[in-house]
Amino acid sequence: MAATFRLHRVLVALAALTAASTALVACGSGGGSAGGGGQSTIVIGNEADLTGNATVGVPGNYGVKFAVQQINAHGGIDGHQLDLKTEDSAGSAAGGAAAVRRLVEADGAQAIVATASSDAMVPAVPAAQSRSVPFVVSAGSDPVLVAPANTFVFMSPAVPVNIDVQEYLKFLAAHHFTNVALVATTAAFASAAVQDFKSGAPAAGVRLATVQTFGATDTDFSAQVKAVQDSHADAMFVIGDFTGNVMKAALNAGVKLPTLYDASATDPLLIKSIGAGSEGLISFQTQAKQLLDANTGAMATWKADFTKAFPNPPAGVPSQFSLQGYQTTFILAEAIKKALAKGGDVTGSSIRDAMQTISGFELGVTDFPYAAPIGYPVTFSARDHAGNATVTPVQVKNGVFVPIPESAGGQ
Amino acid sequence: MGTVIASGIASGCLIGLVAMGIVMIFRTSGIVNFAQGELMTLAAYLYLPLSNHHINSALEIVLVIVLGAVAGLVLFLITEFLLPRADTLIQIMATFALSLLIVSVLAKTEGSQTEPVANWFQGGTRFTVWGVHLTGAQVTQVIVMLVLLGAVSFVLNRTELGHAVEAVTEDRRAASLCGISPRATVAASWVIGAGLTALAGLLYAPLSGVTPSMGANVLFPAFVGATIGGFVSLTGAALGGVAVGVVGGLANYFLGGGSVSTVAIFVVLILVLLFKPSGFGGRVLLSRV
Amino acid sequence: MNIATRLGAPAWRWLAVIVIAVAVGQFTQRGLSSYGNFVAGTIAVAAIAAVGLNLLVGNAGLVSLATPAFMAIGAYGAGIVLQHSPLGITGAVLIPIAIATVVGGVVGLLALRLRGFYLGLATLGLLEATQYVLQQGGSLVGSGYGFPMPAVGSITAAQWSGIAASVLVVVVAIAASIRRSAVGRGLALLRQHETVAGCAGMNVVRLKVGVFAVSAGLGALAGVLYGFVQGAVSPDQFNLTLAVSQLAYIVFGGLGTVAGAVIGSIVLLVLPEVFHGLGQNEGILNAAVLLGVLILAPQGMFPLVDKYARRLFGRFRRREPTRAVAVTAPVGAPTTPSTGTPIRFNDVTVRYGGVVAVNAFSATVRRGTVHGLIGPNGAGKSSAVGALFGLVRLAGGEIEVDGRTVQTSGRRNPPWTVAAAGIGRTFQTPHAGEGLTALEAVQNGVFRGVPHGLVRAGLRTSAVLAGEVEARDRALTALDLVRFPVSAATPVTELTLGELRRVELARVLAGDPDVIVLDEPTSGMELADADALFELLNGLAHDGGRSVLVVEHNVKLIFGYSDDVTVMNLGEVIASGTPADIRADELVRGAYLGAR
Repeated sequence: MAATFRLHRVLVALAALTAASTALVACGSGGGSAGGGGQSTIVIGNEADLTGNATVGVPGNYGVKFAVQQINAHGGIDGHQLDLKTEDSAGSAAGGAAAVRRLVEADGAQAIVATASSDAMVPAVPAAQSRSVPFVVSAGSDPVLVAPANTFVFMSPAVPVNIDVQEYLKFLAAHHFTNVALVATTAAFASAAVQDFKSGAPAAGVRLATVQTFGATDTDFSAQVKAVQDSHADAMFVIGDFTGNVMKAALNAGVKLPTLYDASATDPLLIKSIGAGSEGLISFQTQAKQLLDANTGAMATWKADFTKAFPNPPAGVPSQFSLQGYQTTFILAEAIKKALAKGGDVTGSSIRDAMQTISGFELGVTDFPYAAPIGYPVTFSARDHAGNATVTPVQVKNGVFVPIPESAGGQ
Repeated sequence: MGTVIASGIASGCLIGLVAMGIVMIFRTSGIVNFAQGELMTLAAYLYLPLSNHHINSALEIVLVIVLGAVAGLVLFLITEFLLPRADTLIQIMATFALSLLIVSVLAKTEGSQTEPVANWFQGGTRFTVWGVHLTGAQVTQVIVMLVLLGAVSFVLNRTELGHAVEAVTEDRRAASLCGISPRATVAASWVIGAGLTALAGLLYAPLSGVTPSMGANVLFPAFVGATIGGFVSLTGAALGGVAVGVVGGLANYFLGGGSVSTVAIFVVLILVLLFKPSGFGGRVLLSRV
Repeated sequence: MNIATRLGAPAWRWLAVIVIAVAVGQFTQRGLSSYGNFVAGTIAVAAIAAVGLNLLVGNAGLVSLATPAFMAIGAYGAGIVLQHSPLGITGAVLIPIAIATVVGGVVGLLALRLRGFYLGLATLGLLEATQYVLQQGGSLVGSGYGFPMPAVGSITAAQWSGIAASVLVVVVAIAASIRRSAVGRGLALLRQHETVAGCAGMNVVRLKVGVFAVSAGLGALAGVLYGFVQGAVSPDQFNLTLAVSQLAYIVFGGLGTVAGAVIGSIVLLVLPEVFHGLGQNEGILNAAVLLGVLILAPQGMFPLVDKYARRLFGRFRRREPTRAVAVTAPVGAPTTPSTGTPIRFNDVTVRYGGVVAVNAFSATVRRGTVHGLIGPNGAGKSSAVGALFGLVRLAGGEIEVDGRTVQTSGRRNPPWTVAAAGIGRTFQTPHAGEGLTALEAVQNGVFRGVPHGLVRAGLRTSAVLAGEVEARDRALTALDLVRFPVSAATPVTELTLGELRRVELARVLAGDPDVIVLDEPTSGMELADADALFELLNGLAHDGGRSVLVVEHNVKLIFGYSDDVTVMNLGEVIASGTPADIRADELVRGAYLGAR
C-alpha cells in the first residue's frame, strides 16, 4: 500500500502545523504587546454578546462604551485614560470562554465588565479567575458566578437570582398571591430560580400550583398556558421570557390571571412585544432607581447625554442592560480609583482588594460627579461579592413601567 | 386539550410550509438545503420595516414573497453553476456555509438583537370555537398552509411545469431528452420553495421576533416533518410538519415543556424511520446522504 | 543485538509516534503565547473529535450529528467522576470513554437501517436527548449550569493544551493505522456498496457498530480534554452548531483523509483568529472561506495540497508494489479443499411482494466444474444468486453450500456467513471501494483471512503487519492471475470497466474460495478478454478443483466453456444438462435461443 509515498504527506501535515502555530504565536503575541499598557492607560475588557442571542450584549456594550467615554472625557481616573477592549462572546458558552481568554491573554485587559448572558459567562469565568483578573458581572444573575471560590468575580447591579427569588416570594405573599403558577425557560438561571422558588415557597406561605418550562426558541405556549389554567392558580409568574410570548399565549387563551415577570425581562421591549395586553403586568427591577421609561430627573439627563454620544444606536438601544453596563463600569472605575490611591501598580489583585472595600458607593453622588445618579448604593465585602440587593416591584401603567407604591396592592 | 392540539396544528402548519419548501427544492435539485431557514429569516427582515410602519397591505406582503423567491433564485444560481454535482454531503455543507454567510451578514448589517414584529391582518384577534381558543395568527397559519398546499399541488398535478418537475424528479437526463429544460425546472422549484418559505417567515416573525439566527429554530423541525412525510410528497411534508407541531405541543403538555418536546419529536422520527423507512409520503428518493 | 529487531517494527513505530507527540505537546505548552496555547488546545480537541468523526463519515460513509453528545459524555463524565468518586484521573478518562463507546455502538445499530441524511437526522435525536439531560439532569450536571472542571493535581490549563496536542498526534497515528489496515480498506468498500462488502466476507453489522463505537470513544476522549482545556463545562457548548462545525472541518479538509480532518480543524479554527486580529468580521469571512473551498476544491483542502505536493516532489511518485516473498505459483487449488456438494438449490422460491421471481428452482453445481446459468432478462438468475447470499429471503426451499444448508425459508443468513462457507462472488456492476488503489481493492478479498479488528488495526500490531504482507502477496498473485494490465497502485477511479471487472474477480480469487459465483462477468469486456476470462475459469475448475457458477448472457461462451448448463425463464428451470443437451432442446430454442 501507500507506505512508500507517505513521506510527503507527513511533510504537508508538518508544513500546515508550522503555518498554523506561527499564526497562533503571531495572533497571541500581537495582542499581548498592545495590551502591555502604558503608564497612563488602563485596559478594561468588555465581554459582550454582540452576535447570537444579543439581547443583553449589544445594549450592555453601549452602556459600557458610554461610561468609558464619560470617564475619559473628564480626564480619566486620576489621569489614567481607560482603553476599552470589547470581545464578542456570541451568546454562547464556547464564545464566552474564547472571548474572556482573548481579553485576558491577548488584549491585556486588567479587569473585565461582562454584559453577556449567564450561559456565556459561567464557562468564561475560570479564565479570568485563574489569571487573577477581576470580572464584574453586569447583567447575568447566576449565583454560581459569585460562588465563594470565584474570588475575582463580582456582581452589580445585577442581583443573584436566589436573592431575587426571596424578594419575589415576599412580594407574592404580601399581595396575597398564595397559589402561583410558575412558567420558566430552560436556561440555567431560570432553572436555578425555579429551584429557589420550590425551596423558598413554603416558608413564604406561597404554594406553587404548577411549574411549567419552555424552550428558548419555542413559539407554541398553549400547553403551558393550558396547564396553568388547569392549576387554578391565582397568579402566573414567568421567568426568562424576554419577548412576552407566555403572556401573549395566556391572553390568547383567555386566561386572565395577574401576571408577574422576573427582573430579567423588565424592559420596554417586553411591553412593545406584548402590546396593549401588557397593561397591569407586574415585574421587578434592579438596575436603577428610575426606570428607563422615565423622562424626568437623572434618567432624562442620562438618556439625553446617551443620545448625544450615540445619535444612531441600533434598535433596542439603550435598554435596561445599557443602564447596567454603564453602572458596572463606574463601579469598576471606583475600585481602580481606590487601587490607584493606595499607590503602587494597578494589578488584578489590587483592583480586587479595592473592590472589596467599596461601601455605599452611589453613582454620581460619590467620586464621579459627572455620572448620572441612576444607581442604587453598592457595597461589597470580602465575603459578599454581590453588590446590590435592591429589588423594586413595578407595574405596567399606560404602556410604561411605574413603581408600585409600598402600600398599594398588586391588582 | 383541544386548544393544545389546535395550537400544535397551527404551529405545525408553519413547519409544514417550510418542509414543503425543502421538499420542493430537494425533488428536482437533489439538494437538502440547510439555508432554508435563512430564506425565512431574509423574508422576515424584509418585512420588518413594513411592520414598523404599520404597512399591511397585501401588495407589500406579495412584494416580500417575491423578494424571498428572488433570494431562492440566487441560491439556485450558486448551487447550480458554482457547485459541482458531486457528493451530496459536500452540497449540504455548501448550503450550510451559505446559511452561515447569510446569518453573519445579517448580524453585521442589522445587529443581533431580537426585534419584535407586529401581527399582520387580524393576528391579535381571538376566537373561541367549541371551547378551543385560537388567535387570528393561528387561523391565518392554517389557512395559508392549506391554500398554498392546494395551489402548489394544482401546479404540480395540472400544469406543464408540474409535469416538468415530475420528469426531472425521475431522471434529469431523460427529461432533457423529452424537450424539458431541467435547469429551468430546477430554478422554478427553487423559486416556489423559497416563496413558500418566505411566507412562512412572515407568519413566524410576529411569533418569535426577528433575529439573524431565527432560521435555525425552524430548520430541523421542518427536516423532521419532511422526513416523516417521505421527503418527496408536498402533502406528506405538510402533514409531517403538522405532526411535528402536534407531537411537540402534546409533549409540552404531558411531559413538561422545554427540550423534552424536541426529544419527543426525534423519538417519533426515529420510530418512523425504523418501522416505515420511506415515511408516509411515497417513494424513497433519498437513499444516500 | 539490533534494537530494532528486538522491539519489532510496531514498537519502533510507536516509539516514533510518542517522541513526536511529546515534542508537539511541549511546543504547544511552552512555545506559544498563552492565548495561542489556548487556541491550540481548542484546535487539538476539535481535531481529535474530527478524526473520529471522519472515520465514521469519511471512511464508512455513515453521517452523524451526534459528536457533541459523545464529547459531552466525555467532558461531563470526567468532571462527575472526579467530583463524586475516588477513582481519580484514570477513572475520569476511562469511564466516560467506555460509556460513550457503548452508547456509540447502540447508536450504530441505527445505521443498520438508516443511511445518509436520514441517519444524520436520527443521530441528532441523541444530541437532543443529551441536551435535555444536561439541562434537566439536576445537581449531578450542575443543575443546568454545568460546572468548573475539578483540578487534577497541579496540571495547568497550558499543560492541558499540551496534553491535548500530544493526544492528537497519537490519535492521528491510530486513525492512519486504521485507514491503512484491512478494516480501513473494508470500510471504503462498505461506504461504496454494503452488499458487495458483505459478500466479500465482511461482517457489516460488526463493522458499522464497531466504527460507530470507536468514533464515539474518540469523541468522548476529545470531550474529556475539552473540559480541562476550557476549564469549565456547560450544556450549550455541546450543541448542534458544534455538530455541524465538526462536519465542516472534515469536508473542508478532505473527507476520508486523516490529514484532512486535522487540516480542516486547524484552518477553520485559526482563520477566525487571524481575521479577528486583522479587525475583520470573522463570521462573514469564515463562512466565505468555507463556501469558497467547497466551490473551488469540493474534494477538500488536503487532496488538493496532496496533488500539488506530489507534483512538486516528483520523487515521491507511486512505486510499483512488489511481493515480499516471491510467489510464482498461481492461486491454483484451494488451500483447504472440501468434499461436499459445492452449491445445491433445492426448490427455491423467491417473491417480491406478489411477484414470483424464482419458482421452485433446483440446480446443483458439481465440484471442479463450470456451471452456466442462462436465461433472458428477468428470468430470475440474479434473484437466485441473491437468495444464495441471503440478499432476499426465500419464500420456499433451501440452499446448500459445501453440503451445509446456508439459506432456508425460515432463516435468512447474512452474506458474510455465507462467504465464510468458502464462497465468493462478483456483481453485474463492479464496485472496488471508494478511494482505494487496485491493489487495496483486491486485498479486501483477504479481509477474513487477516486480523481485521478495529483496535488491533489502530495499534498496528505485528500480527496486523504480518497480515498486511500476506494480503498484499495474495492480492498481487490474484492480479497476475486475472492478467491485470496496469499498475496495481492505480487508483480504482482511473480504471476502465474491464479493468474493474478484473479487480473484482481478483478480489474473489484472493479470498481463496472453494466456490466462485460470477454475475455477468463479461459485459463491457472485449471478446478476446472474455475468452481469456473463461479460459481462466476453466483452469480454476478443472485444474484447481474449484467450482464455478456463472450467470452469463453470452450463450456462445457458456456453451463453449461450461460443463453443465441450467436455463431459466420466468423464474423456472426450463432445461438443464450438458451444453450439447441444451443446444438440442426444443423448448430452449423456442423460448430463448430462438428469440435471440
